Amino acid sequence: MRRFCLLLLFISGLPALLAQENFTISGEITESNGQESVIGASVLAQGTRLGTASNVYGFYSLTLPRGRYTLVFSALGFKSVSREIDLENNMRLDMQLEEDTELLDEVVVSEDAEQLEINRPQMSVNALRSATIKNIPVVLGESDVLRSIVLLPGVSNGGEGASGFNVRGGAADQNLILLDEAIIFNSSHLFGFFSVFNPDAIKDLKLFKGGIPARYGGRVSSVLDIYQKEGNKNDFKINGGIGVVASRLLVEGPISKGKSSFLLGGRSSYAQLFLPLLDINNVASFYDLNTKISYKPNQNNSFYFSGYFGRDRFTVEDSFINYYGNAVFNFRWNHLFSDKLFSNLSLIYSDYDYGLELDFVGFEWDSGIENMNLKYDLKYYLSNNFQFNFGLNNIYYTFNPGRITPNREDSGIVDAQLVKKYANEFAVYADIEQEITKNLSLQYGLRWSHFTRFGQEEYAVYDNDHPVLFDPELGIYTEAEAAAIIASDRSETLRTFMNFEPRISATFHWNEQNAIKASYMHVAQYLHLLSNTNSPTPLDVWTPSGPYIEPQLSDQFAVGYFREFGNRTYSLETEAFYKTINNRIDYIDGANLIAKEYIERVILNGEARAYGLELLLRKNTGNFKGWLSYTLSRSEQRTPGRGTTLLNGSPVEEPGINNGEWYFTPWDKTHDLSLYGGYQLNRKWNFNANFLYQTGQPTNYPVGQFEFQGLSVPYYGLRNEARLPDYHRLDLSVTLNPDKNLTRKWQGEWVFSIYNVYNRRNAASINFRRNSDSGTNEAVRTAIFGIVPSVTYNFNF
Amino acid sequence: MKRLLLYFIITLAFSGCEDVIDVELEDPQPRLVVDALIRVNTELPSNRVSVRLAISSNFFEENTPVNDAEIRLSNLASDQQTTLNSDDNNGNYSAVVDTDILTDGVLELRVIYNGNLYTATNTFTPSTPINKLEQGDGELFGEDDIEIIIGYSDPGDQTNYYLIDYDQGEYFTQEDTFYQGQDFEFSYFHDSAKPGDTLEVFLMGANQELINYMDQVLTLSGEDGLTPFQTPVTAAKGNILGPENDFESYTLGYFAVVEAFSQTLVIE
Repeated sequence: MRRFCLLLLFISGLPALLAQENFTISGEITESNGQESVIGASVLAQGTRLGTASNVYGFYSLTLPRGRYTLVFSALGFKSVSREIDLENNMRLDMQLEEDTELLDEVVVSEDAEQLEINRPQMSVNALRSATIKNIPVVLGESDVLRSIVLLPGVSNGGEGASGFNVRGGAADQNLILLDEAIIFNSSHLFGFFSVFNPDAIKDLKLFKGGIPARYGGRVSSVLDIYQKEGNKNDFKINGGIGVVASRLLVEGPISKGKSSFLLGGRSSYAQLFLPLLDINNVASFYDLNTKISYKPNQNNSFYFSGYFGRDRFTVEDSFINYYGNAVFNFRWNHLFSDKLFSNLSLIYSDYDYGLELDFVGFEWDSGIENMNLKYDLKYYLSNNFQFNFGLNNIYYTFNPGRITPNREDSGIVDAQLVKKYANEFAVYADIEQEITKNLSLQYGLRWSHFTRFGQEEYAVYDNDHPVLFDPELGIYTEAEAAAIIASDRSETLRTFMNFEPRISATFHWNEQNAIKASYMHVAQYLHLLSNTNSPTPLDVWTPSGPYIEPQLSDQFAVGYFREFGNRTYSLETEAFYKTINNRIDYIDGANLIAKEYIERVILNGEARAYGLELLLRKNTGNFKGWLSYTLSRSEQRTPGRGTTLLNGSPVEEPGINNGEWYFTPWDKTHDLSLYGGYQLNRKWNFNANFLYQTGQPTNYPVGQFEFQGLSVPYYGLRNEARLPDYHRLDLSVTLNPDKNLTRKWQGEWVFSIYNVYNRRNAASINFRRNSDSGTNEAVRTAIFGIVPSVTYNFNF
Repeated sequence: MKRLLLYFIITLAFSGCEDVIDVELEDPQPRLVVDALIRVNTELPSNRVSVRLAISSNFFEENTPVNDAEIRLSNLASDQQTTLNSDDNNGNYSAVVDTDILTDGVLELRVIYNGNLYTATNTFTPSTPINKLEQGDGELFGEDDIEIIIGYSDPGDQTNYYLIDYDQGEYFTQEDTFYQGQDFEFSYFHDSAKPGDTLEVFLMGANQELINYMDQVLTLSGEDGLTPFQTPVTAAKGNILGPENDFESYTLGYFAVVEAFSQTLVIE
C-alpha cells in the first residue's frame, strides 16, 4: 500500500517539479455580512482558464506563473468582485463577497455550489443550498433536507412517512450522513415525517451518489455531507419561524468581533401533534439544538466547536414512553501549514440513544450506539493542475443492543443486558485530482480500510459454523443451537477485515460547455442496519461485521454526459450507473430481530444489484428557476441457498430466500420523475410548485388464504411481485414578503403551502385482513397524507 | 413482548387514513390445511382431541372443509393409536384420548386424503397455571379497548415460550427471556371484547418452532397490528409433511400438542 502511494506521488508529481517560477495566491472567501465562509466560490484568473474553487471551509489556493492577473471571485447569490494582482511572491488574499440583494437582477456567475463543474472529474454529485431547500413546498410547511433530496435523480425513499432515503437502489443504511463531519445514525424525527436537520442552521449540502472520493468510506451507496453555518462574526442576528408543526429560532453573533462567533439554533414541535388525528391520548414531539462556536485567532488557524442534540419523545397514556435521538459533539481545527497545505483535524463523539418504557409490562429498555471518531484530512495544492488529498480516520464503536430493567417494584422483569459489542474502523486514503491535458482531468485514489471486531462478554459458536439450519423436509430455515458459548475479553480480537478501495473518476471536456465523465468505485461497509420492515424504524439495531457477518462490498460504474447552455443558465446532467453489492443480509421467514441476542441465527448472506439512467435538467438563474429530474432504474436483491443438503438420502439444493431468485427491493421504482419550479414575480411574491410521479413500490398480494385456530391467514408466494398504484401529487407554495419589510429591521415573510393539491390518496401500503366487525376479508389501503394546507411565518432581525 | 415493541412504534401514528379497496387476486393453487393445535388440560384424565381439515382458498373466499379424510393420532413410544372421527360437515374431526397418551413420548398425526398421506410429529409442551386474570381500567389504543391483566409463575430452569389465546381470535406470544423464573404479569389490550362478554383465556406452552409459526400467522392475519411499512410476507410453512418432497408443494397448518390452562373472565 505504502509503495503504491509513493509511486502515485512520484509519477504525478513530475509535471509540477518541471514547472517554473510559480507563485501561490491563497486565502479565505467569506460573506461580508457575517464572515460566514463561502463554499464552492470560484476564483478565476481572467483571460486564462486557470482557476479554483473554495473548499468546505472557504479556503482556496491557486498557483500561477509570475505575472499580472485580474482575479474574479464569484458565487451564486453574491456580487462578483475583481481584483488586480501583481504576482511576484506567494500572497494571501482573503475576499469578502457581498450578498446580492437585488433579487430581480440577473446574477451572472461562473461557478456555484449547485452548478455543474464541467472541468472537474467529480460526477454523480448533487448540491443544494439552504435557500433552495427552503423554497421547495413540503408537507405541513416544514422545509426539510431529506424531503428535498428525494426530488433529485437517483434518490428515493420508502414512501411518505418512511424514514431514511435510498440512493441508486441502495438501502437506507448504506448512506453515510455527515453533519459537520460527524456521523448521524438516525436522520428522522417523528418516524420519518421530518429530518433531524434544522434548515436554518444548514449552510450547504452535497450528496455523492457515485464516484465517491477516497476521503469518504464506510457506506456503500452514498455520502450526504452537510455543513452547518459558523455564525455571524459581525452582527448579532436572530431568525426563526412559526409553523403548524414546529417552531424554530436561531441566534448568531460575534463573541469577539471578526474573530469568533457563536450560533445557537433550536427547533421544537408542539406536543399535541397527532392528537387530532387519533382518538387516543398520545403525545408525539421532537426538539433539536444546534450549536457552534467558531474561533479564528489568526490567518492560519481556525477552531470550531459544534454540537447537535436532538430528541423525539412519544407517549401514550403514561404507560408507553418512547424516546430516541442523536447527540454529537465535535471539535475541529483547520490549520494552514503553508499557502498550499490545508489541514483539518476533527475529533468527534457521537451517540445514538433509543429508549422505551412499557409500564403495562413493567420494564424500561435502553439501547444505543456510541462512537469516537478521529479524522485528519490534508489537502495539498501542489500546482494548479495537481491537488493531493490524504488523511486518516479512526472510529471506535460501542454497540449496546439493549438493556432491560424493571420500571417498578412489582414488575416481574429481571434486569438484563444484551451482550455489548465493540469494534474499531481505521482507514487511510490518498486521493489525487489531476489535470492531464487541457481537456482531460482525473481524480483517482485509494482507501485502505481495516475493521476489527473486539472480544465481548460472550459469543456463540455453532456446529459447522452454521448458525442457521435448513430443514429439507419442511423446506424452512430454523435457528441453530449454540455448540458452545465462549467468553472473551475486549482486548481479544474476534475477527478482522481489510479492504483496498480504489476510486477513479475522469472527465473529458472538449469545450467549456460539454463533458463526458466516467467513474468507478469500490466501497466497503462494515456496519449493517438490521431491519425487518421495508424502511428503517428508530428501533432498528446497527450491528457490526464479525464472526458470522461479512462486510458489504459494493462496486459501482457510472458514465455521464454533462452540458451547460444558454450562457450557463441551463445545465443538463445524464448518467447511467450499474452497481453490485455483496454480502447484503436477508432474514429467514418469521425472523424476529428485536431484542435478539444471537442475530446470526436469523440471517442469510445475499447480494443486491441496481442499475439505471438519470437525467437532471436545471435552470439555475433568472426569475424562474427549477429542475426536471427523471430516473429509470431497477433495484433487486437475492439470497441463494448455501449448497446442497440431504433429503431422505438424496441431495437437494437449499432454496435460499425467495427460492434464491432475484426480487425487487421494497424501494424499487421503475420511473421516478419530479418537476420543481420557483418563480420570483417581484420582490413581494415568490411562487413554487412541485410535481412528482413515481411507479408504485413493490408490494405483495396473497396467493391464498387459510383458516387456523379461528384466524384468517393470507399467505404469500414469491416476494414483491405486485405493485402499489402509481404515486403522484402536486404541491404549491407562495411566499409573501410584505412591503413593510422595506422600512424596518424586522424582516418577516409568510409561506402558504398546499401539499397534495388534488388530494390523491396515494397508497403507502395495501394490507389484507379480516374485518373484525363484519367478519369478511378485505384489502385495506393506507394513505398517509391527503391534501394538507399549511402556513408558516418566518422572521429575522 | 419482543413483538410488542415494534408493534407500538409503528402502528400508533397512523390509523386514521385507511380505506377498503378492490384488488383482483389470482386463484390459488389449492393446498390442504391441517389445523391441529391440540390443547391438553392435564388436570383431566382424558381430553377431546380436535383437528380441522380444509382446502385453502382465494383470500376473499371461504376455505372448503374436508370431511372425507382419515385421521389417526399415534403415540410412537407406546404405540397407541386413536382414530379421529368426522364430527360434522365442517371439516372437524375428534376423539377422546387419555391424557397420559398425549403427554408422554413422540406423537404422530397421520392424515390420508385423496389417497395421499400427510404426517406430522411433535411432543407435548408443558405450560404453567394462570395465577391471575382480571380486567384493568387502563386504556392504550382507545376507549373501546379492554385491558386484561394476566399473571403466571415462570418455571426458572429453562427457556419457556407461551401462546396466549385471549378468545375472539386474539392471540399473543411470549418468551421468558427477560423474566426467567419470576412471577410475571402484564396487560393486554383486547380489541374486540365488549362489556358482558365472557372470555375464555388459555395460557399454552409452546416451543420456539410453534412461536415462530404463530408469529408469522399473527403477522399475516394482521392480528399484531397493521403497519404502513410492510414487513416481509411469508408462505407460512408449518410442520405438516405432504406426499411430495419438493419445496413448492408444501401443506398448510400446524400440529402441536400443548398444555393449556384456562380461566374465564366476564367483561364488565
